[in-house]
Amino acid sequence: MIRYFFSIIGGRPFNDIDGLELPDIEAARAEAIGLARDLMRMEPERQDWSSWSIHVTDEKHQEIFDLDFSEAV
Amino acid sequence: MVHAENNGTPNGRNWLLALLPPADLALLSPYLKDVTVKQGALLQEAGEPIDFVYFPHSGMISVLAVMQSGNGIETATIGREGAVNALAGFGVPNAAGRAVQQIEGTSSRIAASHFRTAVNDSAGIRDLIARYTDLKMTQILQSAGCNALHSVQARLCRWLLQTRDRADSDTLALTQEFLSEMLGVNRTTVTVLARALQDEGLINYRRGKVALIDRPRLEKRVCECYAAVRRKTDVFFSTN
Repeated sequence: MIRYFFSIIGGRPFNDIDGLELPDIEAARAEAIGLARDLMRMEPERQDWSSWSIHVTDEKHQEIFDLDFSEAV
Repeated sequence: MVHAENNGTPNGRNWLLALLPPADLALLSPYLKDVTVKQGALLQEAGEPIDFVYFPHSGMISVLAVMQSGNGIETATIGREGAVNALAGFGVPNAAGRAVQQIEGTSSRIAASHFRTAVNDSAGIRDLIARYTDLKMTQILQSAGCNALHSVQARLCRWLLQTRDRADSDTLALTQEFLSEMLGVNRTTVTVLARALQDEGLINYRRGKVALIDRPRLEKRVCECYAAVRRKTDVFFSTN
């Protein structure tokens, strides 16, 4: 298991210091998509999410990938 | 614990059992066995035969509706004010929902067959279980409306407060996985929501350990469902 960190870049920045243990990068991608969908669902009145993304890193603070919210729609 | 103070029921005992007169309790007592159940243990799978009825003395159990995907969502929580699988007393053979121990605790459990015999033999037990089922139905209806209509943030506050009412501490060992399942959101979303409450000074949150630090303000942030269910429960135990 690898601990991944999911930070939000955009309107309401969120720096993930807890992280989540997941088996692989596929699971990390699914988590990032789920998080983006939750955030969009929780704020349906917001139309423009173009500047929002999720920045995924590992324990060494190395970037694993960035997910634009547009990829999660 | 305010419920207990209201009706004089001692802490550490199941409130339904405490309401039974000695003659009715005597029908159950020979078959009741205390069990301590760890967090995360599955007490009952949805759709499966009911083997036991549980009367919690401490801890908390959640009942989930389970979808074909295997995902579940909260429909009710049961603590020392209630019972799990009580409808087995009326001969219901299989459980409608999945019951999972969410906070470790002790319950008295009785085999479903023995419970059914006691319900058949006692109008008092029968009446209590019927009225308790109505109370639980209220909670399930409230949850259905809440899950559909209220913000995830307000629902998280409801969860924290109703869990606090069952726990004996302001520090709640709720796993992130559990909250994620209850609220129907991703695990990281739980972290984001909890951190927002922490930034406002309402809770402390770190990897699933939640400490309530400002209950009055949490009560202002919660949806109406917390007070509605609590009021019904208080009325039930103050008038029975």
